Amino acid sequence: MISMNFLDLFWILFYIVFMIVLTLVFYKLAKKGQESFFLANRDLSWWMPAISVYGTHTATDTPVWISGVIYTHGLRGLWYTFFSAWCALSAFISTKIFRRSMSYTQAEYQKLRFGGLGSELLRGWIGGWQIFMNMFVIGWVSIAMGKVCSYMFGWPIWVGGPAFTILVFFYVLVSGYWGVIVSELQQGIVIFAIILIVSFWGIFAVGGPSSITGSLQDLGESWRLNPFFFDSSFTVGWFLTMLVIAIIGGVGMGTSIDWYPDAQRVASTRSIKDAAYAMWAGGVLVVIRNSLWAVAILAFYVAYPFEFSHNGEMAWYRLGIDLMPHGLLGFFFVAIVAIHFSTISSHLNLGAMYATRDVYHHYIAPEASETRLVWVGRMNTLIILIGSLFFSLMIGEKITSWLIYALWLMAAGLWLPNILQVIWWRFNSWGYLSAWVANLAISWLIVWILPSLGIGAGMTQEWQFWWAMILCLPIYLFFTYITKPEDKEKLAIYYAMTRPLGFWKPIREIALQKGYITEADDAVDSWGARDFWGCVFSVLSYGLWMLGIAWLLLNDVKGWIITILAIIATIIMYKILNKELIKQSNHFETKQEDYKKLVENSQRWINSTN
Amino acid sequence: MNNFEPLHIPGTVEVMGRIDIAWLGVFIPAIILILSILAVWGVYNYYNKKQ
Repeated sequence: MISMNFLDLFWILFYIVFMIVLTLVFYKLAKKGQESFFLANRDLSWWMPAISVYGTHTATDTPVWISGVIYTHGLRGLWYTFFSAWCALSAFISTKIFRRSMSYTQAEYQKLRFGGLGSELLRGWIGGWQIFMNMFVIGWVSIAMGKVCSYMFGWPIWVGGPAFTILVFFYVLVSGYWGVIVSELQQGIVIFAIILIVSFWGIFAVGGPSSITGSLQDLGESWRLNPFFFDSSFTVGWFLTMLVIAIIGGVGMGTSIDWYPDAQRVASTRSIKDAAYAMWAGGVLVVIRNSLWAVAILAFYVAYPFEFSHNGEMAWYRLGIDLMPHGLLGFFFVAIVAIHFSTISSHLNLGAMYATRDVYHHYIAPEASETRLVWVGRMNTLIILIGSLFFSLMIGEKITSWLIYALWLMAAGLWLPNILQVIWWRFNSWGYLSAWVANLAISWLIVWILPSLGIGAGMTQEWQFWWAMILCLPIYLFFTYITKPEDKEKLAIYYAMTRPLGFWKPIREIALQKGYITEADDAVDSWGARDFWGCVFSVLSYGLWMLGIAWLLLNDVKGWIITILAIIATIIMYKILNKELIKQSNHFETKQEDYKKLVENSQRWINSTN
Repeated sequence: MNNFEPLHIPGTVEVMGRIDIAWLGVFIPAIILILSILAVWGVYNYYNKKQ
């Protein structure tokens, strides 16, 4: 329990009212139609969705989780958080492809990528699954907020979480995605500022960087300063598995749970170039944030060593609560509220978008007017809120850990199919559907059934991942090959729109024959060595930013060198890719309206000839 | 109360181990508030004129 004075309470009240009122003025921009309410008219410059990507990746349970891994593993724990590096490749591969598809949602993308009954089943399944997931994530994050409020003020858990979630609902209801994106802009500023202030304060409260390194040596714990320290609790196998999952995953769509909210940010940008930079910059902000947190948590470890069960997961929150002076203490709580608001607002609008675009508009009322769709979008926001409150009541510690674990493994069997759907023309809807079903069954088998029979009981997480992947592989390849390929004419249209990377030669030839693409298109849109090297420097820059900032905060000379290398890698990446991105954006601009009509025709299918 | 060293910041007063009302707690939130108002105002102005 902490006590606050008038200044703390003033800032809390003032900022909460301010955050809500400021977003309500965007009502006028949001009410124009479905595209305004869910995608801000696809007219955002890269930096706004970038801040939003960063804000959405920062939830109230994120500092709890990162505190836990850093307190346990020291700086090598940063590699757990490096999963955000999927944004490094995604920015210049899957993000570009998704932006070109003109889809609102991942479910809608499945309808474009695949055809026939299989694509309808996939759209319905992913739409329904995302409605559930958004309710679940809001419920789970609300409980994390409830726990923080309980820790700080002693309120019952069901008061702190749902109360703040309901406050967010009002501005998402009124201003839709405009409210989300604008609130995340101001919340992003508040969150980043407080992370900087609390982290630096924490570092100096234990005597500064040299005191952290000196104290760790005195404690015999200097291995915590080494991000490449491997032992039986952090093996090279696990490290490499995490790198592969994170980095290569960026080629596919949906390889990370964060892809789904981020895809909405991608779709809302004004061009391919803006989409790519939004994803890259949002991800890099997350990586830098993690390093700021990590060194502050090391400082906390120096003050409270060997006390994981009491303090480990609350390390960063404890720094703010114990150290901030009055005024800033209230402002620290404001930042926690901002972190909560930014996550909840994103998922409320995202869940409502799936319910409106993929369920109501596609299946129930294909000819609905734009005004009607905005109204339904608002009603669906309310339904997502009610569903999430229901999940909040259901979720306890045990259920949460079980579900997070199951979700992690669900990613294992689907990781490769999520990439294959992007890079391989022959992978069809039945292969992808069978992968979903197989993955559910096999993850269940690996985690619960086989260990209960004494088989693979002590299997480590990296082996669980690889086994889930290997066992699912023959199942979806079998279903892909015993069923017909997708209609090649449809794939050729998809190819011309999205210009996917990988094994698309037969489809490319049809697209050329039919005139869907020309030599001139090829000159601008083909993948080549520039893309490869741009992607290499993008990934490299992520790793360098993460290590450079961490070592810089520890006042280690390596930090200066690596941060300078990070800046150089970023500049090289920009120099390699920027001209090409501008050309591709301008070229796509000439076709965008036609593609938009094509997608809308498919959406309003009753009177359509498609 | 905790294992941290108190930071002695000019112009601040400590009460019960915590720095009490001070320029830090007034100016830092105020500066960030003004920055975020300017950012949102800029966005609103730009898109409102555009549409």
